[in-house]
Amino acid sequence: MANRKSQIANRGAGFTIAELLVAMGIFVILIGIVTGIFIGGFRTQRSLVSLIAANDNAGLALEQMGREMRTGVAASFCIVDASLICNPSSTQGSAIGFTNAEAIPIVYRLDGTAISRREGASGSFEAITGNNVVIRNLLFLLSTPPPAPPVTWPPRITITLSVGSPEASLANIVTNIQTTVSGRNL
Amino acid sequence: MIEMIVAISIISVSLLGILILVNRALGVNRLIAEQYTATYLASEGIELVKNMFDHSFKVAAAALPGSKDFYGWVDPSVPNASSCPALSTNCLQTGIYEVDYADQALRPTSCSSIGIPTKQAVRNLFIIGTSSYCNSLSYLDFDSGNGSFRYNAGANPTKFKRVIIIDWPPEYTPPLFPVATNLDYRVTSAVEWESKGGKFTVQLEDYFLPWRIP
Repeated sequence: MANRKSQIANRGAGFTIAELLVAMGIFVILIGIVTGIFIGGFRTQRSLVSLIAANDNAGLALEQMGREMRTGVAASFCIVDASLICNPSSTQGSAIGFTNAEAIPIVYRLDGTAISRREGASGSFEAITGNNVVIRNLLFLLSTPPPAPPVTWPPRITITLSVGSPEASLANIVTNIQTTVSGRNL
Repeated sequence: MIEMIVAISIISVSLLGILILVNRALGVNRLIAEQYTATYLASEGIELVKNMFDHSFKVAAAALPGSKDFYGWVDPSVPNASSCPALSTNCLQTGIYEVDYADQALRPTSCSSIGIPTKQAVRNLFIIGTSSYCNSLSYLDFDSGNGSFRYNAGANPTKFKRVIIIDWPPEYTPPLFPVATNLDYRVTSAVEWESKGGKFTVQLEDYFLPWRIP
């Protein structure tokens, strides 16, 4: 009879409220940590996508500039000043002018945070980089021309740029890119 | 008690795994940026050599117009070496060099020849302990004045080293080709850097042919 009573009492035994609170507390903390990591992972993935998009965009702009410069008229390259006038004595600047293979005067320059291109002497500047890239710095370096003719060096244009993403969380990440273009039109 | 230890261990290991994954993802972030920089630097190496190659042609065209005597860089060990002095500094030998955007000639290095510039052979130039490791290769500096990469630009050394290898492609010799011309140059440009996760290399290759006639 006593054994039967003990069995009935055990059937009612369970967790105390304190045990439940501790277990639920640990569970909530763990879920919080895991959720935080999960969200962090998503943010990192989004950052990666943004950076890749920004660098791809800058790469396309570089490719476009490089192709046009390679086939440009050799003697036409010059650094362009703020009033869009060719400065033959300047060897570096944020805008470059030249005549392309179709005999059209071209200017590339940095407009705010975008690279712009102007076609023709009276054309307007149009951005060749998208909104998903921030160009923080753009510089064209022309190799020093030889002092006397005959000119024996093809044009050599070095382009340096600092590429970033417009996302606030990526403000500190900047990719410095440099490439050089050698004119093929000798 | 044992159940508790096991449970906590499993949870700890899984959390640690996730944390390492996130950390690696952040590292990849930086690696992608470095990969872009390195690729463009390697491409610049090829372009600079092309610039010098074309300069060589222009010198030949100015000195010997109509001579049809242009063999790219004239090497003393091949026919027409006598024209080399007339081309002054353009008598380029095959070998291993460095170059930056402001150079008007390639910078010789003390690296030993590596034969055919396969990916592994080029990588070994940068790896301490390998037989072809070359300790004369320098890091490019970052010139904060104009945002450029060059040698001896100041106190901002980057993690990038660049090497230019010029050789005659052996596949252009007999029996595949009837005449061993040695007129075709293979130019290999490689950039190496060390980052989180090890050493990385970008290697590009181009062939220069003396197709223009003065």
